[in-house]
Parts: sequence; C-alpha cells; structure tokens
Amino acid sequence: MQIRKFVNSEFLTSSIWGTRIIPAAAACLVMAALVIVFLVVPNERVMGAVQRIFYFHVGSAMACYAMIVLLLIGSSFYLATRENAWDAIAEAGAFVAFVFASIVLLTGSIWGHSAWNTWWRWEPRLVSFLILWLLLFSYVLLRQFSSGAERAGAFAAVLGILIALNVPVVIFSIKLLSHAEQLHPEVVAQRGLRDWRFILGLVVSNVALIAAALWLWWLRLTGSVIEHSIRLSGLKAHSLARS
Amino acid sequence: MESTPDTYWDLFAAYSVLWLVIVVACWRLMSRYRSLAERLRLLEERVERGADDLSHT
Amino acid sequence: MSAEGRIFSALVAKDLKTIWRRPTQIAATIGFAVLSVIVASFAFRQIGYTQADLLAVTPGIIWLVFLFTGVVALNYSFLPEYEDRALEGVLRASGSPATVYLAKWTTNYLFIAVVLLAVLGAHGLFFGADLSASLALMITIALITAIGFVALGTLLAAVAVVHRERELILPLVLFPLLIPLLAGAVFVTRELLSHGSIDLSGFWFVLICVFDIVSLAVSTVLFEHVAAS
Repeated sequence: MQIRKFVNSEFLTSSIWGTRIIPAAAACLVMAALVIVFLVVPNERVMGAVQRIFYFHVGSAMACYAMIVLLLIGSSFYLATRENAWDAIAEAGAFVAFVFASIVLLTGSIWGHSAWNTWWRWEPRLVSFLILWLLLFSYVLLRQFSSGAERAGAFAAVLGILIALNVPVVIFSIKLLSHAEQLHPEVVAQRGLRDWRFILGLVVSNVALIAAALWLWWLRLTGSVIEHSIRLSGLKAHSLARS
Repeated sequence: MESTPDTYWDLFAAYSVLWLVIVVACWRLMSRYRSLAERLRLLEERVERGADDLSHT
Repeated sequence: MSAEGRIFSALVAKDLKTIWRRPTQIAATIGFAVLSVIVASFAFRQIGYTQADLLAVTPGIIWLVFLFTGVVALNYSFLPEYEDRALEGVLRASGSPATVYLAKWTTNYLFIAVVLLAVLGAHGLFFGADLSASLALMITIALITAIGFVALGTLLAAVAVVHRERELILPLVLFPLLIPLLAGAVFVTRELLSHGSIDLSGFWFVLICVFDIVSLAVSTVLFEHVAAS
C-alpha cells in the first residue's frame, strides 16, 4: 500500500471522508448522544443525575483506545518503512489520545467526587489509566523536545509501541483485585444496564466519540502534513535561490 | 416516587452549544487547511518552474 | 566463540574500562545514592517516625532512591559514544544492533547492581532498618528487578542522549513505564521484610518476571531503530 497517496495535503483536504462524512457523522452522532443522555435516559436509581457523565466517560476511554490503535499502527509501520506519513499518523493519534485520556480523567474525577466523595482514589483502574495519561503526556513532550532532531520519528515510534503495550495492562488491571476491594464499577461486564435506553445511550455515545476522535485526528494529521510540506518547499525554494 | 426529573433541558442546551462551537471551529480549521493546501500547490508549481528555468539557462 | 560473541565481550570490556577509568563517576553516583538515603532519613525522622514506622516505609524508600539514582547513572551510559560520534562505528563494526544493545545492557546492569548494593548498604547504615536477616533474598529480588529497569533504561537512554534536555527526558519517559515494576518491587520487598519469605507464584513477583522478559525482548528488538539512522 502506498500510504503517501493518502497522507498528503491534497488528499487530506479534498477527500470526502475527512471533509464531509466523518465530520457530519461526528456532529450528528454527538448531538444524538446528547439528546439520549440528557432527554431520553431515565435517572439511575442510586446515582441519580450524575450517572449521566458515565456515557461520556466510557465513550472517551473508547475513543482514547481507538487512537492508541492508530498510534501503534503508525509507529510499527514507520519503523518498518520509514515513511514520514506513518509517523504523522502515529503522532496525530497520540495527540488526540492524550486529549481524550484527559477527558476520561476529568469526567472520572467528577463522577468520583459525587460517588466516592473524593476526586481521586488509588485504585488499580484509576492508577493504570493515570500511567497511560502520563505516558501520552511524555510522548507529546518528547515530540516537542525532539522536533526537527535527527531520528525524532524513530524515537517517538519506539515510545509509541511501548505505550501501546501498556494498554492491555490498563484494561486488565480491573481484574487485579477481588470484587470486594474493587471500587471502579464494572457496569458492562456485570450486566448493570437493565433498561434498553441505557444500552442505546452507551452505544451511541461510544460511536459518537470515536467519530469525533477520528475527525480531530484527521485535522491534526492534515495540519502536520501541511506544516511539513511547507517547510520542505521552503527549503527547496531557498536552495534554488542560492544556486 | 420520582423526586428528580428525567430530562435536563438546561444541561442539554449548554452542552449542545459547546459542541456546536467545537464543530464550527473544526470546520473552519479544515477550510483554512484547504486554502493553505491550495497555496502550497501554487508555491510548489512556482518552485518547479523556477527549477526548470534554472536548468535551461 | 562466535564472531558476535567476540564483539559482545569486546564491547563489554571497553565499557567497563571506560567506567573504570573514570572512578569519580562511580564515586559520585554512589555518593548520590547515599545522600538520597540520608535526606530521606531526615525527612521521615522529623515527622516523628519510630523505628517500627521507619521499617514500614523501608521498601518504598529503597526503590525510590534506587529509581532516582539509577536514572542519573543511566543518563551517562551513552554519553561517551554520543560525544565521540562512536555509536555509528560500533554498529557498523558489529554484526547486529542487538549485540551492541546487550553489551550495553550488561555493563549498565553491572553498574546498576553496584549502585543497588550501595543503596541497600546506605539504608542499613543511615535508616536504621535491619536488613541482615533477609539480605540474600533482598539482593536477589533487587537484581531480578534491575533486569527490567536496565532494559528499558538502556533503550531510552539511547533516545534521550541526543537531546539537549536529556536529564529531563529520560525520567519523564522512563518513570511512567516503570511504575508496574516499581509497584511489584515495593510489594515483594514489603512481603519479604514482614514475613521473611516471598511468594514465588504471587501476582507481583510474576509481574516483575514477566516485565523483565518482555522489556528485555522488546528493547533488544527496538534498539536497532533508535541507534541506527
């Protein structure tokens, strides 16, 4: 596959996927999710209204994992082929994953504040997600530090693969403690969604936030590709003017 | 039995407005990228032509 | 001995000689470890901790000090090669980057093992925690944990060394990755200090071993990409 055919400024700014389909889908689906979450879903018996944040919390986590999949794909293919396009794919994925991981921590804290009466608990799922957030943070920082440096893409790709390897640890960390000690709810695995409207809300908000993440990813990718090409043609023009 | 309402029009309105602002911002960013890509194409053409002219002289 | 084996031992000998010829570096690193233990000791004594309390925080202090000292030591591991632009030549001379990585890992591991012993010794001296009863097991656990630490540390030191902010980058990238290992090491050490033995099939000990194997294997594969341009 010739990835450069797709990752260039012309394709990214004219493709119907990035300019019409994904944006429209994300816009409509998030609106639909807002309607379902705030107007359709009944109040949860124990938690009440705060439980509604759960849809955005879980959806953001799913979007974050989806972006880390892109990070893993981009990093691996970059190391294999050394095509800058793959590096740009990975970088955009990590950046959007960082944004959504931050949303997960934020919404989780708000939920925890009302459910556990504390913003933060040292509990496996929370800690492992915090580690994931820290790793994404260091990835973004490394990119800042090494921008323009020799082999910057390879360094970032190595870190990207190490981050992706950490994701299963985060997902399975929830099995680490017995149910008695476990505080983070396991809603889906314990069939906690009795009303069909809960399930509808969860599915729609997951799909909606993944679509929104894809859109942001596309925008970030386009931005970095354009920046890269501008620098390249500037260099070319400069060397021409000197010769 | 229900002490709290099941619909939250105020929250819905607030988050809808927030989301629409984000959508408009992203949309405008894409349009800006498109014009940048167009200008980049023109620039690259000029560089190509310049290179051709130089090689002919 | 195969060609790779000869290159491996030559590289290890070269690195050990480099360390040996700069005794101030070893002395300064050990000094840093001892100093960290002393500072920690002051911090906890001023809270009013009794001897029993100090023993309770011992596992945390040991691994915290080890983490900070280790990252300082690893920061220097690729500096000579980087400054002399020698890594390219070394990579070209040897058959595979994996050999270069494993040689570097070996020297770093030996160096870190010395640092670890210094941390444990300083801890016994200045923290007042009596580790003598389970010292052999303690050292074994420390050496097992150091495998994974040095594996990721060596890989990421090669990444960090080309940057101007290398002292910042290495811990920033390394510490989040090491948190599972650190958690396991602290838990196992606590188990050892309170029971005098460890559960070899317990979750945390298995986690340490899996972490060691995975990080050493993955780093050996990935080193090629950070070292060769």
